[in-house]
Amino acid sequence: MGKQATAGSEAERRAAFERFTEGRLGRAYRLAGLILRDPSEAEDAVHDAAVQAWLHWRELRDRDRFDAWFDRILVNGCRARLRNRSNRPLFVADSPELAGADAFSEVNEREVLHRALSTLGADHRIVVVLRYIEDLTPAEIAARTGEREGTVRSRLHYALRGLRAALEAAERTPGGVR
Amino acid sequence: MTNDRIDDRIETGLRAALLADDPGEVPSALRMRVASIPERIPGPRRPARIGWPSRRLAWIEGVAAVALIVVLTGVTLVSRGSNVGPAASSSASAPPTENPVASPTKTPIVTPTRSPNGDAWGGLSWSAPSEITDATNFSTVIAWNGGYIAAGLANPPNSPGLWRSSDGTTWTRLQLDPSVFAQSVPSGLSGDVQSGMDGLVQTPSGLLAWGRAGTPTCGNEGESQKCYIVPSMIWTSPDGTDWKQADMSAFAGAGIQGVAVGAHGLVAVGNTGSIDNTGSMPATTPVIWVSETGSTWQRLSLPADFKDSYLSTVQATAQGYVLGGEFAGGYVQIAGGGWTAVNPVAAAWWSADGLTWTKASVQPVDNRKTNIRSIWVGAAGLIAVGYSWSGGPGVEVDGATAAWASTDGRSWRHVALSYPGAPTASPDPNLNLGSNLILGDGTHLITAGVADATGTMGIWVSSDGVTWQRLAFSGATGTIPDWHGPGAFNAVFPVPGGFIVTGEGPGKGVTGTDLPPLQVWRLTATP
Repeated sequence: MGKQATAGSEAERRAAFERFTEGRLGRAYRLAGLILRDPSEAEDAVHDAAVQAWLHWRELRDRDRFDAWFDRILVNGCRARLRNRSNRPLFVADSPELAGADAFSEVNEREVLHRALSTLGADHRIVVVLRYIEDLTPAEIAARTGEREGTVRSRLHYALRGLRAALEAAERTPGGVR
Repeated sequence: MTNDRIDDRIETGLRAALLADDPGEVPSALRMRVASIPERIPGPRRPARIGWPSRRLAWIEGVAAVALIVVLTGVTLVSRGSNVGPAASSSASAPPTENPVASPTKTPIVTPTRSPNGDAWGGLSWSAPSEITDATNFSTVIAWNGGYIAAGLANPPNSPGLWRSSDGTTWTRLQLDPSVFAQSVPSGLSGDVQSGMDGLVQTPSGLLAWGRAGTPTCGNEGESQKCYIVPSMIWTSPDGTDWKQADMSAFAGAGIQGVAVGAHGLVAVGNTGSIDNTGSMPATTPVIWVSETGSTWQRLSLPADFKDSYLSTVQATAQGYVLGGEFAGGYVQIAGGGWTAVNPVAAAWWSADGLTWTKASVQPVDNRKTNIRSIWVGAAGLIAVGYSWSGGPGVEVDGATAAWASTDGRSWRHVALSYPGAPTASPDPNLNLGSNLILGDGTHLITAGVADATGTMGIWVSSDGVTWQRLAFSGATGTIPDWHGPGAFNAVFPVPGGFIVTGEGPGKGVTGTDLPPLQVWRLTATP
């Protein structure tokens, strides 16, 4: 009996991984890539998260919640990688010179936002990606980050406030967003 | 451009800006690596593999991996040996007595045994909030010259600012000489930096602020992006209005983590260089500077037991000074070319005069990795606050706030934070409290947090960091912001006889991009 249970669990575990590699790997890779902004590091983050999911499969009590469970492992791994990067005192991301003509204002604006996004802290960037790319609600984000919903809302607020400040600063800069 | 137009543009442009970093299709190599996991890792748990640069080292089996750790650690120690010289002015006579590798045995926990509140704070009376329309946030508030002074981010413009108040509720922005604060860093964007001024302390000759300013130096961060490290800066002032830059020649290439003012002068701690993703070996080196007035500084030569350590905080105590951080245990390269500490453990040092430093004993937390991010002083003891987690190099699992208590700074005991409202497992580094969810004013240790399931804010007080008592609220309690969520509060600053609390007031939007004005409350302690 015990042997059967173990064999069944092992088969279920393997089947889950087959499903993951077939259907969910792309989404996980994109999520890690958007958080980390480094394809090769995203590759490793997804692999390491998959290893953890494999090793901790028995801790997943509700199989229907695999996506949220795996996302949480992946997001935690990405956060750790971002924090390892952030031992530097401060980064100011550089970008190409912004064109000044109005015709390019949309491109400029996207560039300003992109540059501002690169300066967000790890926790801020994670909630912004989950909210605006994955279209998750604050409650769903909280389930994936292990935070309180209020914390997620607070981080969204501060992240967006920072982005707004960046646009305002660019507006004041010659050649910036108009 | 109006604020509404900016908000609309953020909403519409954010997704496109994020997707600029879309990594594209899943590489076939990743598909193969993931698909082969069940074959490569058949056992129930092999955590030593997690977090390794498995893209590069997937073929390395257990023995080879362990050997690589040893080699890398050895190389790291040799290459960094010259960074921390022998202690010319240090005692260096007390080699570290504790094993830097956490003990696998269960950590004994200090349990609450006695009344916490030495000088009978029973509650806090809240003032009505006041709106600060020309500030985005306050990063530091201290008592000074019979009133208070705050450093923060001014709005507008988005630049460092200072404010004074005589009563803690009415604040006036000080006019600063733009040339003195030129090129300071008004980031406000990074989760780690909220202002060009990172800290503010009172000194015997006036005030001292520290932060970052000057011409950035270029780093190496790939082909399309360059990163810059902005130099550290210290400003001094006799009166809060007339400021000048300190001589920063001793701070080249270093970041300041904290400044303490004690009986033997000023002590600053920080680290040079960075642990980065450039692929080179990590080059951080802990640094301690000392000064009599804050205008000129001397960099100390440190004892050998500082090697491979990262310093995060310093505090003055009745016996001298204490500082905290972590011992890295060597570094290993992880995926993407970055480096990470092999086995970081919390570390602390103490000094009677700020010049000679001795490593303290810090109790391990089970077999978890740990660090110390802040140290606070209470009437009956000290508390060090940091983080603990498990997982392999570069992987963080089960992170939680960790704390240690000490009576003298020479020996630190791990303490449980199990009271209601204790720091959460994932402190929010974007609040000023962050991992400093515990603060101190030299007499009281305080912590603030969510007090119940509805998100109500609570504040607790302790004199020794071991036992805590929740303070009752009175006064304008109807204006108290929730811990998080709409009207979230930002920070708590201990000042004599109570606190200054900043927040955004109730009823403001959160997920939108509206900018509610900064609100400030004065909390006065009651018996």
